[in-house]
This record gives sequence, C-alpha cells and structure tokens, in this order.
Amino acid sequence: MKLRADVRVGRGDRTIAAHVVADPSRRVVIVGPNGAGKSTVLAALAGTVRLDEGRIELGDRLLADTDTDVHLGPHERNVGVVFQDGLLFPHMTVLDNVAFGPRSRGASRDRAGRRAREELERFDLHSLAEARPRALSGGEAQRVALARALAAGPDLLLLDEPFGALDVTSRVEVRRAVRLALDESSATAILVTHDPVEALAMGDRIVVMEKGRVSQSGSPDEIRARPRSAYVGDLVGLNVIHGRGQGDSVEIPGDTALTLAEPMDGPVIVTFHPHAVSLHATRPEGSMRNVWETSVRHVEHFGGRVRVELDSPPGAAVEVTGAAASELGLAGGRRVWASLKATEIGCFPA
Amino acid sequence: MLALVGAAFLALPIATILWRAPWSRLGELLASEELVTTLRLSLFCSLWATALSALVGIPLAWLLARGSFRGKRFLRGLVILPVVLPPVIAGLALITAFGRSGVMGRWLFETFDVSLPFTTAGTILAETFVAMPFLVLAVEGALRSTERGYEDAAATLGAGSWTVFRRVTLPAIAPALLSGALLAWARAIGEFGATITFAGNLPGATRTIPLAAFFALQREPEAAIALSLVLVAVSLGVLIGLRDRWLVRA
Repeated sequence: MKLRADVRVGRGDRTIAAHVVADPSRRVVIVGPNGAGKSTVLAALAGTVRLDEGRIELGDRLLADTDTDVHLGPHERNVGVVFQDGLLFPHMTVLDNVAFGPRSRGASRDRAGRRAREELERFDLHSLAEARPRALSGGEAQRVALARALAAGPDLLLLDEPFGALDVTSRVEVRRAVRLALDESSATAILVTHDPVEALAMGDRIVVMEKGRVSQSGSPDEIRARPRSAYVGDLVGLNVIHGRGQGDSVEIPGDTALTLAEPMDGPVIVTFHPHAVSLHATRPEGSMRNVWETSVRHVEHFGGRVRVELDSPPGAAVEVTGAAASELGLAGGRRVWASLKATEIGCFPA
Repeated sequence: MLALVGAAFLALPIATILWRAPWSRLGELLASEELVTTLRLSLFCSLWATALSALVGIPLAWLLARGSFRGKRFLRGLVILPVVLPPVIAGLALITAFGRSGVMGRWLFETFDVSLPFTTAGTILAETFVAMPFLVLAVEGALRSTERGYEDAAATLGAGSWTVFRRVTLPAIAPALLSGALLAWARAIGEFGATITFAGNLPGATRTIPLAAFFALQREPEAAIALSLVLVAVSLGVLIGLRDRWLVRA
C-alpha cells in the first residue's frame, strides 16, 4: 500500500516537518543524527503523536488530516511498529506477545496462537515460545518484536532504530531477520536509523533528516553522487563544501578558491574524496592548480590509515597512509601544503 | 537514649495489650454471637469499601497520572485531604452531603427513597471516604512509573483503550494496586470516627469492630481487648503483606 504523508509536529520550541512517500516496492530509510526528529515522524505515522498540520494517507485510507480534523488512533491504523528497545510486554510469554496483535483484532485464542506460532517459526524462534521476555538476549528480543509486529498483519511497518541497542553480533542476526521480513511481507516499510552505512545498505530511497527537516532525499546513488550537507557527506564519505562559482573558480570558506575542470556559476556544492587530497611538507612542484597552505587541526589513526582534519577548507577531511603521516610528522597545528586535482572535484548547483 | 524511649513508647502499649489479653477465653469470647456478628459486619463493610475504592479510585488515579487539565493539583489535594482530615470531621462532612437533609442525601431520599445515615451502606460510604485515598495514591504512583511505551506498543498492535488497560496497564500496576488495596482495607476496617458520626452504632448494621471495642470497654474490658487483638492481627498482617515495599527500605 502506498503511503503519502505530510507531517508537521511541534516539539517544544521547534517544528519537525517531513514529507514521506513509500510503497512496497521501495524501502524507505529515514536517516539523520540523534535528535533530528526521525522518531517523531514515525510516532506521527503510527498515531501515537498528533499532527499539528498535515495529512497521512495509506492506500485509500485517510489516517490523519488536520484540514478535515481526522485523526485515527494507533489501534485503528493498522500500522505496525518495532521499537528500539523492543517493548515486549514483560508479564507475557513470547508466544502471548506475538499473539497479542491477532487477539486484539478479534481472533480466537486458538487462531491467534496458531498465527503467532507460524510467525515464530519463520524467524526461528519457536523454541522460545514459552520464555519470558527478560530471559531473551537483545537480538532475540528484537526478532520477537519484529514477529509480533508482523503477526498483526500491518499495512505499514515502521522500524525505529531496530538495531540501535544491540551489540555487533546480534545486529547482524536482527538485520538478517528484518531483510527476510521485508522481502516476504507485502507491507510497506520505513526504517529509521542514525547509521549511514545501514541506511545506504538497506534503503531503496533515503530520506535524510537534520534539525527537524528533510535536508535531502533520493536513491542511495543520488545521495552518494550529490550530498548536500556535511552530514550527508560524512554519510557517503565525501567532503561537502558550499561555495560560490565564478567561471572555473569556486570561492569557498577559509579564504580559499578551488579551480574546477568545468566552469560553474552561482551558489554551488563542491565535493571531493578524502583520498583525493595529497599533503606535502613543502610547496609541491608541478602543474596542479589547486595548491594551498593550511594547518592541521586534528589527526586520527585507524587501521593502517590516518585521517587528517584541515583548517582550510574548514573541517575538510583528508586520508593518507600511516607511512606518509609519520614522514610528514603530522600532528595538530602542523603547517602543510595540500594539493587537489581539478578533475577530482565534483560540483553541482546548490 | 531518647531513641530507646521513643521505641519503648511505641512498643509498650502493643506489648501490654498482648500481655493482658484473655488468651484462655479468647476462643469463647470471639465465638459469642454478638462478636461474630460484629466481625462479619466489619469484614463485609471493609471489603465493600475496598472494592468501591478500586472501582472509582483506579480511574481517578489514571486521570491524575495521565490527564493534563487545569486544576489537576487541586484535584490531587482533594484526594489526599481525607488522609489528613480528622475522621469525625469527615463524618460531619458526609452528613452535610449525604444526610437526610444533605445536598445529595435529600435528592437520594426523595427520588429513590434511599437513606444512607445509620445504615450498613452508610458505614461502607464512610469507610470508602477515608480509605480510597490510599488506593488512589498507590495506583497513581505506579501509573506514573510504568513505561508509556508499552501502552503505545499495544495500541499499534490494534488494541483499543480497554484492551490496553486490561492486558497491559493493569498487570503492570497490579503489585501497587494490591498494596494500595491492602492499605485501604486496613484503614477501612479500623475506621471509627467517620463511621460513628455518619452511621452511628447500631448492632448488626453499623457497629464494626472499633466501635464495638470502644463501647465494650466500659462493660466488658476483656471483650474489648479480644476485639482489639483482631485489629492488631489485621495490622500485623498488612505490615507483613507490605514488607517488601516498606521494611526493606534500609
């Protein structure tokens, strides 16, 4: 079923606003830093939070519309939610938890039990049917939460950071279960995460939220090709810098200009990969036109590589080998020369 | 030293009542027809008072814990008031409200020919008035500390508000409800002032254990002590029942 939602919710002194469209063939992932308003959007879709303005349509059903004063309660929406901390009912067995949805929708005890067993079987959880939630591991609990949400037969399935509270091993286990669930289910699904890797790996369509707003949306390829903010840049591993183009030169913050391979005028976004920048102890010889002197802000080692943050352009990230780093004596405050080929710079209108 | 004096002061009267108790005649005393009637009436009234407290007290607690409306603090104050109000004053207040010429009482009498003062129903009413706050406060505290997320989760699974309450909220607050009900029951069965003011002291109808003990003191001190022992036992029983909530605080 197709979801079309225009959500606007006041939260203290700020407003969370998002436009979300999803259907079963396109898995939507909402990604953004903590506090961006992602969970509020999900709560508005689920109906546990009222819209201040907007409209939510699921298939041919109107779930909420502030213009005509429609607000279906969460129990009338047929929207399933998997919460970050699972929220399995602690006083019920796993089986009763999973049977809760069908029971609430009027199935007999027997029928609901059978439905729950099917769902547990599918996620390889049948051996835990009589266990209490507190006896489960984090990964098991999250898989039960998933089974519980699906057993109710939702038209729309919302997953709110379902891997957030898990260690690495159980994260893999739950991710596999979510994949299985989404591939087999006809429900439209929306996944919320703050993990960019997860977002790009699991989404057909990415909605990036920052500070209560959608800052960008598109397919993972579009997002990778044209990140529009530093957050999205980090997300896809690119430096993202806003500047102003004039001919083949772009003025960027830090009193620097970059030369482009192709001319571009007006406000632009330039991107370049951390690998594309070379660092030198002295001014490099050669034909390269993008050469500038700057200080090192910060150095971080990981694996055999070193990530260097520059003063100019402010906060730009550069990646060099460990050998190069020690040869240059890289440390916070060190003056270095940076060079960047024009052909390595991506540029598109802001 | 003063602490010892304090402890002794609290312990001595209870100890002496146990010491002076007519243990050998206890069975005979408590089995007398008059006392059996009193015990049965006390049990009947206090259980009804507890049930009524739960019936209207749980929704009231829910409103206090979950509602957001003007005058909520005022309402909570009103709920707590009977705890600190002198019971005799509570009885007087009940007369002005539910007495034959009281605001509600007159209407009840004229419309339904129902009169509450000096009846068993009146005793139950008086006991409910003083006992309900204990239950409301216990349940409200539990509702506040339960995770709202469980109720939201239940709703997204298709449960209407009654199902959510019955299958998710109620089990979560059950321990608090039980201890609140126990406290309310103990308060109800020991109630004296409001009962005697509003419902009087009619054997078999409104004379509960505390009233019987008070009036037996003149004629038959041994019976009074026997009755007192019943209430001491009730108090100890409640204390043991609530030990996990109260005594383990250290």
